[in-house]
Amino acid sequence: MSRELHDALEFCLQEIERGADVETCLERFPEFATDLRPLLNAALLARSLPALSPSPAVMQRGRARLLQRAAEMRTRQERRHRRIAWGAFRSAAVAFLVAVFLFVSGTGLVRASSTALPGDGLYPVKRTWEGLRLSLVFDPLRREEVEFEIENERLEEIGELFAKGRVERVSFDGWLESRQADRWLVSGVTVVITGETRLPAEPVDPGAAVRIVGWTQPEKVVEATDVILLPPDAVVLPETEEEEGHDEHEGLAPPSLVSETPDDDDGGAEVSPTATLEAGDDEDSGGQKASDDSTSESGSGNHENHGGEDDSHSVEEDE
Amino acid sequence: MPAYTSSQERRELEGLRNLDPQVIGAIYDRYFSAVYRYVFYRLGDEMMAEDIAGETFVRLLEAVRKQRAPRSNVRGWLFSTASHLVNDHLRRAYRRPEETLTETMGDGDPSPAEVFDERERLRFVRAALSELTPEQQHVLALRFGQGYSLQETAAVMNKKVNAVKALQFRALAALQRKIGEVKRE
Repeated sequence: MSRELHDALEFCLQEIERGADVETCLERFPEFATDLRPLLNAALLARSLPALSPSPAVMQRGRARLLQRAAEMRTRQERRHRRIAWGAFRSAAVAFLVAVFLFVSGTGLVRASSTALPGDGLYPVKRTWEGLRLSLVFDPLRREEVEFEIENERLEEIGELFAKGRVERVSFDGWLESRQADRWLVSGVTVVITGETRLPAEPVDPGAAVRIVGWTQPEKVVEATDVILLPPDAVVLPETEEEEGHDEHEGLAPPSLVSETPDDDDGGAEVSPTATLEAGDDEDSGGQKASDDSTSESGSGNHENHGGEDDSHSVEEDE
Repeated sequence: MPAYTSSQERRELEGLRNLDPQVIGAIYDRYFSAVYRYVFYRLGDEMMAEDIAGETFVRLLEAVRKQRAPRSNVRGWLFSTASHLVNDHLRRAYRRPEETLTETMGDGDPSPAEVFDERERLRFVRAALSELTPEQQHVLALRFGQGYSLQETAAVMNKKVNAVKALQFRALAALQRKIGEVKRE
Protein backbone atom coordinates (compact mmCIF):
# COMPACT_ATOMS: atom_id res chain seq x y z
CA MET A 1 0.00 0.00 0.00
CA SER A 2 2.58 2.57 1.08
CA ARG A 3 4.87 1.54 -1.79
CA GLU A 4 2.03 2.18 -4.23
CA LEU A 5 1.32 5.50 -2.55
CA HIS A 6 4.99 6.48 -2.81
CA ASP A 7 5.01 5.48 -6.49
CA ALA A 8 1.80 7.43 -7.13
CA LEU A 9 3.31 10.50 -5.48
CA GLU A 10 6.44 10.21 -7.58
CA PHE A 11 4.37 9.77 -10.75
CA CYS A 12 2.32 12.88 -9.94
CA LEU A 13 5.44 14.92 -9.12
CA GLN A 14 6.92 14.04 -12.48
CA GLU A 15 3.64 14.94 -14.22
CA ILE A 16 3.50 18.30 -12.44
CA GLU A 17 7.12 18.87 -13.44
CA ARG A 18 6.02 18.38 -17.03
CA GLY A 19 3.23 20.94 -16.60
CA ALA A 20 0.24 18.90 -15.49
CA ASP A 21 -1.97 20.18 -12.67
CA VAL A 22 -2.68 18.43 -9.40
CA GLU A 23 -6.25 17.39 -10.14
CA THR A 24 -5.34 15.84 -13.47
CA CYS A 25 -2.73 13.72 -11.71
CA LEU A 26 -5.10 12.69 -8.97
CA GLU A 27 -7.61 11.41 -11.53
CA ARG A 28 -5.09 8.66 -12.26
CA PHE A 29 -5.13 7.59 -8.62
CA PRO A 30 -8.64 8.18 -7.25
CA GLU A 31 -8.00 5.73 -4.39
CA PHE A 32 -5.05 7.87 -3.20
CA ALA A 33 -6.51 11.28 -4.04
CA THR A 34 -7.24 12.18 -0.42
CA ASP A 35 -3.75 11.29 0.70
CA LEU A 36 -1.94 12.75 -2.27
CA ARG A 37 -3.68 16.09 -2.66
CA PRO A 38 -2.13 17.83 0.40
CA LEU A 39 1.25 16.36 -0.44
CA LEU A 40 1.11 17.63 -4.01
CA ASN A 41 0.02 21.06 -2.78
CA ALA A 42 2.97 21.06 -0.39
CA ALA A 43 5.21 20.02 -3.29
CA LEU A 44 3.92 22.99 -5.32
CA LEU A 45 4.77 25.29 -2.44
CA ALA A 46 8.20 23.71 -2.12
CA ARG A 47 8.74 24.20 -5.83
CA SER A 48 7.74 27.83 -5.53
CA LEU A 49 10.70 28.68 -3.33
CA PRO A 50 13.26 30.42 -5.54
CA ALA A 51 16.66 28.82 -6.13
CA LEU A 52 18.67 31.75 -7.38
CA SER A 53 21.80 31.14 -9.44
CA PRO A 54 24.93 33.10 -8.49
CA SER A 55 25.79 36.17 -10.51
CA PRO A 56 29.06 36.16 -12.51
CA ALA A 57 30.49 38.56 -9.94
CA VAL A 58 29.67 36.16 -7.14
CA MET A 59 31.19 33.29 -9.12
CA GLN A 60 34.37 35.24 -9.80
CA ARG A 61 34.68 36.42 -6.22
CA GLY A 62 34.21 32.93 -4.87
CA ARG A 63 36.70 31.48 -7.33
CA ALA A 64 39.37 34.05 -6.45
CA ARG A 65 38.85 33.47 -2.72
CA LEU A 66 39.07 29.70 -3.09
CA LEU A 67 42.25 29.81 -5.17
CA GLN A 68 43.77 32.28 -2.71
CA ARG A 69 42.93 29.88 0.10
CA ALA A 70 44.45 26.98 -1.82
CA ALA A 71 47.66 28.99 -2.36
CA GLU A 72 47.86 29.70 1.38
CA MET A 73 47.36 26.03 2.13
CA ARG A 74 50.11 25.08 -0.33
CA THR A 75 52.48 27.55 1.33
CA ARG A 76 51.60 26.21 4.77
CA GLN A 77 52.02 22.67 3.55
CA GLU A 78 55.46 23.42 2.08
CA ARG A 79 56.46 25.22 5.27
CA ARG A 80 55.29 22.25 7.32
CA HIS A 81 57.23 19.83 5.14
CA ARG A 82 60.32 21.99 5.51
CA ARG A 83 59.74 22.14 9.27
CA ILE A 84 59.37 18.37 9.45
CA ALA A 85 62.55 17.88 7.42
CA TRP A 86 64.41 20.41 9.57
CA GLY A 87 63.02 18.83 12.75
CA ALA A 88 64.16 15.39 11.62
CA PHE A 89 67.60 16.74 10.75
CA ARG A 90 67.82 18.56 14.09
CA SER A 91 66.78 15.46 16.03
CA ALA A 92 69.38 13.38 14.19
CA ALA A 93 72.05 16.02 14.84
CA VAL A 94 71.19 16.21 18.55
CA ALA A 95 71.19 12.42 18.82
CA PHE A 96 74.57 12.30 17.10
CA LEU A 97 76.03 14.97 19.39
CA VAL A 98 74.66 13.22 22.47
CA ALA A 99 76.12 9.93 21.24
CA VAL A 100 79.50 11.60 20.65
CA PHE A 101 79.36 13.27 24.07
CA LEU A 102 78.42 10.02 25.80
CA PHE A 103 81.13 8.16 23.95
CA VAL A 104 83.82 10.75 24.72
CA SER A 105 82.75 11.25 28.34
CA GLY A 106 82.16 7.52 28.76
CA THR A 107 85.57 6.52 27.48
CA GLY A 108 87.14 9.34 29.50
CA LEU A 109 85.40 8.09 32.60
CA VAL A 110 86.46 4.53 31.95
CA ARG A 111 90.03 5.66 31.37
CA ALA A 112 89.99 7.71 34.55
CA SER A 113 88.57 4.80 36.50
CA SER A 114 91.24 2.37 35.33
CA THR A 115 93.54 3.32 38.20
CA ALA A 116 90.76 3.47 40.80
CA LEU A 117 91.10 1.36 43.94
CA PRO A 118 88.40 -0.11 46.17
CA GLY A 119 86.81 2.73 48.09
CA ASP A 120 87.47 5.28 45.35
CA GLY A 121 84.53 7.10 43.76
CA LEU A 122 85.30 5.76 40.30
CA TYR A 123 85.85 2.18 41.44
CA PRO A 124 82.26 1.08 40.61
CA VAL A 125 82.81 2.43 37.08
CA LYS A 126 85.93 0.33 36.78
CA ARG A 127 84.14 -2.82 37.93
CA THR A 128 81.14 -2.16 35.68
CA TRP A 129 83.42 -1.66 32.72
CA GLU A 130 85.19 -4.93 33.53
CA GLY A 131 81.85 -6.74 33.66
CA LEU A 132 80.87 -5.18 30.36
CA ARG A 133 84.14 -6.16 28.77
CA LEU A 134 83.72 -9.71 29.97
CA SER A 135 80.14 -9.95 28.74
CA LEU A 136 81.24 -8.85 25.26
CA VAL A 137 83.85 -11.57 24.87
CA PHE A 138 82.49 -14.78 23.44
CA ASP A 139 85.66 -16.54 22.40
CA PRO A 140 86.49 -18.95 25.31
CA LEU A 141 90.25 -18.42 25.05
CA ARG A 142 89.97 -14.67 24.89
CA ARG A 143 87.46 -14.76 27.74
CA GLU A 144 89.93 -16.66 29.90
CA GLU A 145 92.55 -14.02 29.15
CA VAL A 146 90.20 -11.25 30.21
CA GLU A 147 89.24 -13.14 33.38
CA PHE A 148 92.92 -13.58 34.13
CA GLU A 149 93.51 -9.84 33.68
CA ILE A 150 90.61 -9.02 35.96
CA GLU A 151 91.69 -11.42 38.71
CA ASN A 152 95.21 -10.12 38.45
CA GLU A 153 93.90 -6.58 38.66
CA ARG A 154 92.23 -7.43 41.98
CA LEU A 155 95.53 -8.63 43.37
CA GLU A 156 97.33 -5.54 42.12
CA GLU A 157 94.72 -3.33 43.71
CA ILE A 158 95.27 -5.08 47.03
CA GLY A 159 99.02 -4.57 46.61
CA GLU A 160 98.46 -0.85 46.07
CA LEU A 161 96.12 -0.62 49.06
CA PHE A 162 98.80 -2.33 51.18
CA ALA A 163 101.41 0.09 49.87
CA LYS A 164 99.21 3.05 50.81
CA GLY A 165 98.23 1.53 54.12
CA ARG A 166 94.53 1.96 53.32
CA VAL A 167 91.75 -0.01 54.97
CA GLU A 168 89.18 -0.90 52.29
CA ARG A 169 86.73 -3.64 51.63
CA VAL A 170 88.02 -5.98 48.94
CA SER A 171 87.01 -9.16 47.25
CA PHE A 172 89.28 -11.34 45.20
CA ASP A 173 89.58 -14.88 43.87
CA GLY A 174 92.66 -17.00 44.16
CA TRP A 175 94.23 -20.26 45.14
CA LEU A 176 94.77 -21.21 48.71
CA GLU A 177 98.49 -21.77 48.74
CA SER A 178 98.98 -22.42 52.39
CA ARG A 179 97.33 -22.01 55.74
CA GLN A 180 98.93 -21.55 59.11
CA ALA A 181 96.55 -21.21 62.01
CA ASP A 182 94.71 -17.96 61.35
CA ARG A 183 96.85 -16.90 58.41
CA TRP A 184 96.22 -18.16 54.92
CA LEU A 185 98.12 -17.36 51.81
CA VAL A 186 95.77 -16.91 48.88
CA SER A 187 97.48 -16.26 45.54
CA GLY A 188 100.23 -14.40 47.34
CA VAL A 189 97.96 -12.38 49.60
CA THR A 190 98.08 -12.99 53.33
CA VAL A 191 94.57 -13.44 54.63
CA VAL A 192 93.82 -13.32 58.36
CA ILE A 193 91.00 -15.55 59.52
CA THR A 194 89.28 -14.20 62.62
CA GLY A 195 86.64 -15.67 64.85
CA GLU A 196 84.04 -13.71 62.89
CA THR A 197 85.12 -14.93 59.47
CA ARG A 198 82.40 -16.93 57.76
CA LEU A 199 83.99 -20.11 56.46
CA PRO A 200 82.50 -22.71 54.14
CA ALA A 201 81.11 -25.85 55.68
CA GLU A 202 83.46 -28.05 53.69
CA PRO A 203 87.14 -28.19 54.59
CA VAL A 204 89.26 -25.78 52.58
CA ASP A 205 92.47 -27.47 51.63
CA PRO A 206 95.51 -25.87 50.06
CA GLY A 207 95.09 -25.89 46.32
CA ALA A 208 91.42 -24.95 46.60
CA ALA A 209 89.97 -22.07 44.62
CA VAL A 210 88.50 -19.52 46.98
CA ARG A 211 86.98 -16.11 47.01
CA ILE A 212 88.08 -13.89 49.87
CA VAL A 213 85.96 -10.99 51.00
CA GLY A 214 87.43 -8.79 53.67
CA TRP A 215 89.23 -5.64 54.66
CA THR A 216 92.80 -4.64 53.84
CA GLN A 217 94.80 -3.75 56.92
CA PRO A 218 97.81 -1.46 57.33
CA GLU A 219 99.74 -4.57 58.36
CA LYS A 220 99.46 -5.64 54.71
CA VAL A 221 97.02 -8.42 55.30
CA VAL A 222 93.41 -8.91 54.36
CA GLU A 223 91.20 -9.55 57.33
CA ALA A 224 88.61 -11.93 55.89
CA THR A 225 84.94 -11.57 56.63
CA ASP A 226 83.95 -14.32 54.20
CA VAL A 227 85.73 -17.23 52.60
CA ILE A 228 83.82 -18.83 49.75
CA LEU A 229 84.86 -22.08 48.17
CA LEU A 230 84.83 -21.85 44.36
CA PRO A 231 84.79 -24.61 41.77
CA PRO A 232 88.35 -25.35 40.58
CA ASP A 233 87.71 -23.88 37.14
CA ALA A 234 86.41 -20.60 38.56
CA VAL A 235 89.90 -19.16 39.05
CA VAL A 236 92.10 -18.63 36.04
CA LEU A 237 95.17 -17.34 37.84
CA PRO A 238 98.06 -19.79 37.84
CA GLU A 239 98.11 -21.80 41.00
CA THR A 240 101.48 -20.40 42.03
CA GLU A 241 103.28 -17.34 40.89
CA GLU A 242 106.65 -17.05 39.23
CA GLU A 243 109.22 -16.26 41.82
CA GLU A 244 110.68 -13.39 39.76
CA GLY A 245 107.51 -11.50 40.36
CA HIS A 246 107.67 -11.69 44.12
CA ASP A 247 109.54 -8.48 44.55
CA GLU A 248 106.62 -6.68 43.01
CA HIS A 249 104.25 -8.28 45.51
CA GLU A 250 106.36 -7.69 48.47
CA GLY A 251 103.42 -6.36 50.38
CA LEU A 252 101.23 -9.28 49.45
CA ALA A 253 103.02 -11.71 51.69
CA PRO A 254 104.44 -9.57 54.44
CA PRO A 255 107.35 -10.66 56.56
CA SER A 256 104.99 -10.88 59.47
CA LEU A 257 103.86 -14.20 58.07
CA VAL A 258 107.33 -15.60 58.57
CA SER A 259 107.55 -16.67 62.13
CA GLU A 260 111.30 -16.84 62.05
CA THR A 261 113.68 -14.35 60.57
CA PRO A 262 114.26 -14.88 56.86
CA ASP A 263 117.95 -15.16 57.50
CA ASP A 264 117.36 -18.05 59.72
CA ASP A 265 118.05 -20.94 57.49
CA ASP A 266 115.77 -23.77 56.56
CA GLY A 267 115.22 -25.07 59.97
CA GLY A 268 113.75 -21.87 61.36
CA ALA A 269 111.28 -20.85 58.71
CA GLU A 270 107.79 -22.14 58.81
CA VAL A 271 106.98 -24.41 55.98
CA SER A 272 103.66 -23.98 54.34
CA PRO A 273 101.55 -26.98 53.51
CA THR A 274 101.39 -25.70 49.94
CA ALA A 275 105.09 -25.68 49.76
CA THR A 276 105.09 -29.20 51.09
CA LEU A 277 102.69 -30.27 48.45
CA GLU A 278 104.62 -28.46 45.79
CA ALA A 279 107.77 -30.16 46.85
CA GLY A 280 106.09 -33.48 46.56
CA ASP A 281 104.66 -32.69 43.15
CA ASP A 282 107.76 -31.08 41.84
CA GLU A 283 107.97 -33.19 38.75
CA ASP A 284 104.37 -32.65 37.74
CA SER A 285 103.88 -29.04 38.58
CA GLY A 286 105.44 -27.76 35.43
CA GLY A 287 107.56 -25.09 37.05
CA GLN A 288 104.65 -23.39 38.75
CA LYS A 289 106.04 -23.81 42.20
CA ALA A 290 108.10 -21.48 44.22
CA SER A 291 111.79 -21.95 44.19
CA ASP A 292 113.87 -22.10 47.30
CA ASP A 293 115.88 -19.07 46.21
CA SER A 294 113.09 -16.67 46.77
CA THR A 295 112.85 -17.30 50.48
CA SER A 296 115.17 -14.73 51.83
CA GLU A 297 114.79 -12.23 48.99
CA SER A 298 111.07 -11.84 48.95
CA GLY A 299 110.39 -12.23 52.60
CA SER A 300 107.45 -14.44 51.67
CA GLY A 301 108.60 -17.09 53.94
CA ASN A 302 105.51 -19.13 53.59
CA HIS A 303 106.13 -19.59 49.87
CA GLU A 304 109.20 -21.60 50.27
CA ASN A 305 109.80 -25.18 50.78
CA HIS A 306 112.92 -25.97 52.70
CA GLY A 307 112.79 -29.62 52.54
CA GLY A 308 109.33 -30.20 53.96
CA GLU A 309 110.72 -31.65 57.09
CA ASP A 310 108.44 -29.63 59.26
CA ASP A 311 104.90 -30.53 58.46
CA SER A 312 103.62 -29.88 61.90
CA HIS A 313 101.52 -27.02 60.53
CA SER A 314 99.65 -29.09 58.07
CA VAL A 315 96.03 -28.30 57.43
CA GLU A 316 94.82 -31.34 59.23
CA GLU A 317 96.63 -30.39 62.36
CA ASP A 318 95.45 -26.80 62.18
CA GLU A 319 91.94 -27.95 61.80
CA MET B 1 25.84 18.98 -16.25
CA PRO B 2 28.37 17.26 -18.57
CA ALA B 3 28.94 13.52 -18.40
CA TYR B 4 31.46 12.86 -15.71
CA THR B 5 33.20 9.53 -15.41
CA SER B 6 34.63 8.02 -12.28
CA SER B 7 38.15 7.97 -13.81
CA GLN B 8 37.89 11.72 -14.41
CA GLU B 9 36.76 12.15 -10.85
CA ARG B 10 39.69 10.10 -9.57
CA ARG B 11 42.11 12.25 -11.56
CA GLU B 12 40.50 15.37 -10.18
CA LEU B 13 40.67 14.08 -6.63
CA GLU B 14 44.37 13.36 -7.13
CA GLY B 15 44.82 16.93 -8.39
CA LEU B 16 42.87 18.19 -5.39
CA ARG B 17 45.20 16.37 -3.02
CA ASN B 18 48.10 18.25 -4.63
CA LEU B 19 46.12 21.49 -4.34
CA ASP B 20 46.44 21.90 -8.11
CA PRO B 21 44.86 25.31 -8.92
CA GLN B 22 43.60 24.10 -12.30
CA VAL B 23 41.77 21.15 -10.78
CA ILE B 24 40.39 23.29 -7.96
CA GLY B 25 39.16 25.83 -10.53
CA ALA B 26 37.52 23.11 -12.62
CA ILE B 27 35.69 21.60 -9.66
CA TYR B 28 34.58 25.03 -8.54
CA ASP B 29 33.22 25.89 -11.99
CA ARG B 30 31.39 22.59 -12.21
CA TYR B 31 29.64 22.64 -8.83
CA PHE B 32 29.58 26.13 -7.36
CA SER B 33 26.34 27.25 -9.00
CA ALA B 34 24.47 24.15 -7.87
CA VAL B 35 25.73 24.48 -4.32
CA TYR B 36 24.90 28.18 -4.27
CA ARG B 37 21.34 27.48 -5.53
CA TYR B 38 20.93 24.76 -2.94
CA VAL B 39 21.87 27.08 -0.10
CA PHE B 40 19.80 29.91 -1.46
CA TYR B 41 16.79 27.60 -1.78
CA ARG B 42 17.03 26.69 1.86
CA LEU B 43 17.85 30.11 3.29
CA GLY B 44 16.60 32.63 0.74
CA ASP B 45 19.57 34.86 1.49
CA GLU B 46 22.06 35.78 -1.21
CA MET B 47 24.86 36.78 1.14
CA MET B 48 24.51 33.64 3.18
CA ALA B 49 24.32 31.57 0.00
CA GLU B 50 27.60 33.09 -1.19
CA ASP B 51 29.30 32.63 2.18
CA ILE B 52 28.11 29.08 2.78
CA ALA B 53 28.72 27.91 -0.79
CA GLY B 54 32.24 29.38 -0.63
CA GLU B 55 32.84 27.79 2.77
CA THR B 56 31.71 24.42 1.37
CA PHE B 57 34.54 24.48 -1.18
CA VAL B 58 37.07 25.56 1.46
CA ARG B 59 35.95 22.57 3.55
CA LEU B 60 36.62 20.36 0.57
CA LEU B 61 40.23 21.62 0.41
CA GLU B 62 40.67 21.12 4.15
CA ALA B 63 39.22 17.63 3.95
CA VAL B 64 41.68 16.80 1.20
CA ARG B 65 44.56 18.16 3.28
CA LYS B 66 43.47 16.08 6.29
CA GLN B 67 43.17 12.93 4.14
CA ARG B 68 39.41 12.94 4.66
CA ALA B 69 38.51 13.82 1.11
CA PRO B 70 35.65 12.01 -0.64
CA ARG B 71 36.89 9.03 -2.64
CA SER B 72 34.04 9.44 -5.09
CA ASN B 73 30.81 11.39 -5.46
CA VAL B 74 32.29 14.85 -4.95
CA ARG B 75 28.90 16.36 -5.76
CA GLY B 76 27.21 14.36 -3.02
CA TRP B 77 29.96 15.36 -0.58
CA LEU B 78 29.55 19.05 -1.46
CA PHE B 79 25.75 18.99 -1.04
CA SER B 80 26.04 17.10 2.21
CA THR B 81 28.58 19.61 3.58
CA ALA B 82 26.46 22.54 2.38
CA SER B 83 23.47 20.97 4.12
CA HIS B 84 25.40 20.72 7.40
CA LEU B 85 26.52 24.33 7.12
CA VAL B 86 22.93 25.44 6.46
CA ASN B 87 21.71 23.45 9.45
CA ASP B 88 24.37 25.09 11.62
CA HIS B 89 23.33 28.49 10.34
CA LEU B 90 19.66 27.78 11.04
CA ARG B 91 20.47 26.62 14.57
CA ARG B 92 22.35 29.87 15.19
CA ALA B 93 19.50 31.89 13.66
CA TYR B 94 16.99 30.24 15.99
CA ARG B 95 19.13 31.18 18.97
CA ARG B 96 19.17 34.80 17.75
CA PRO B 97 15.62 35.39 16.55
CA GLU B 98 16.25 39.08 15.84
CA GLU B 99 18.14 37.97 12.75
CA THR B 100 15.51 37.57 10.06
CA LEU B 101 16.08 35.79 6.83
CA THR B 102 15.95 38.03 3.78
CA GLU B 103 13.97 36.97 0.77
CA THR B 104 14.55 37.77 -2.86
CA MET B 105 11.60 38.35 -5.13
CA GLY B 106 11.35 37.04 -8.65
CA ASP B 107 11.41 39.07 -11.82
CA GLY B 108 8.78 41.60 -12.77
CA ASP B 109 7.63 44.78 -11.20
CA PRO B 110 5.08 43.78 -8.52
CA SER B 111 3.06 46.20 -6.50
CA PRO B 112 3.96 46.74 -2.84
CA ALA B 113 0.95 44.66 -1.77
CA GLU B 114 1.95 41.82 -4.05
CA VAL B 115 5.48 42.03 -2.79
CA PHE B 116 4.22 41.83 0.76
CA ASP B 117 1.94 38.86 0.04
CA GLU B 118 4.64 37.03 -1.82
CA ARG B 119 7.15 37.67 0.93
CA GLU B 120 4.70 36.38 3.50
CA ARG B 121 3.99 33.25 1.50
CA LEU B 122 7.63 32.51 1.03
CA ARG B 123 8.29 33.21 4.70
CA PHE B 124 5.62 30.69 5.70
CA VAL B 125 6.96 28.05 3.37
CA ARG B 126 10.55 28.59 4.36
CA ALA B 127 9.70 28.70 8.05
CA ALA B 128 7.83 25.43 7.64
CA LEU B 129 10.68 23.93 5.63
CA SER B 130 13.19 24.84 8.30
CA GLU B 131 11.08 22.94 10.84
CA LEU B 132 11.65 19.64 9.04
CA THR B 133 14.42 17.24 9.87
CA PRO B 134 17.75 18.01 8.12
CA GLU B 135 17.32 14.95 5.89
CA GLN B 136 13.79 15.94 4.88
CA GLN B 137 14.98 19.49 4.10
CA HIS B 138 17.86 18.03 2.13
CA VAL B 139 15.67 15.81 -0.05
CA LEU B 140 13.21 18.60 -0.80
CA ALA B 141 16.02 21.04 -1.64
CA LEU B 142 17.51 18.55 -4.06
CA ARG B 143 14.23 17.59 -5.68
CA PHE B 144 12.51 20.99 -5.81
CA GLY B 145 15.40 23.44 -5.43
CA GLN B 146 17.85 21.70 -7.74
CA GLY B 147 15.19 19.95 -9.81
CA TYR B 148 17.04 16.64 -9.57
CA SER B 149 15.27 13.48 -10.60
CA LEU B 150 14.59 10.73 -8.11
CA GLN B 151 17.64 8.83 -9.38
CA GLU B 152 19.94 11.86 -9.19
CA THR B 153 18.73 12.66 -5.71
CA ALA B 154 19.35 9.07 -4.66
CA ALA B 155 22.88 9.25 -6.09
CA VAL B 156 23.67 12.53 -4.31
CA MET B 157 22.28 11.25 -1.03
CA ASN B 158 23.91 7.81 -1.40
CA LYS B 159 20.53 6.18 -0.89
CA LYS B 160 18.37 3.73 -2.79
CA VAL B 161 15.63 5.11 -5.01
CA ASN B 162 12.86 3.55 -2.92
CA ALA B 163 14.36 5.02 0.23
CA VAL B 164 14.30 8.47 -1.38
CA LYS B 165 10.69 7.92 -2.49
CA ALA B 166 9.69 7.15 1.08
CA LEU B 167 11.76 10.04 2.43
CA GLN B 168 10.22 12.61 0.07
CA PHE B 169 6.76 11.30 0.94
CA ARG B 170 7.40 11.87 4.65
CA ALA B 171 9.06 15.22 3.93
CA LEU B 172 6.08 16.55 1.94
CA ALA B 173 3.62 15.30 4.54
CA ALA B 174 5.65 17.02 7.26
CA LEU B 175 5.93 20.21 5.21
CA GLN B 176 2.19 20.29 4.64
CA ARG B 177 1.62 19.89 8.40
CA LYS B 178 4.18 22.53 9.31
CA ILE B 179 2.77 25.07 6.83
CA GLY B 180 -0.61 24.68 8.52
CA GLU B 181 1.01 25.18 11.93
CA VAL B 182 3.00 28.22 10.81
CA LYS B 183 -0.10 29.82 9.27
CA ARG B 184 -2.07 29.24 12.46
CA GLU B 185 0.64 30.98 14.47
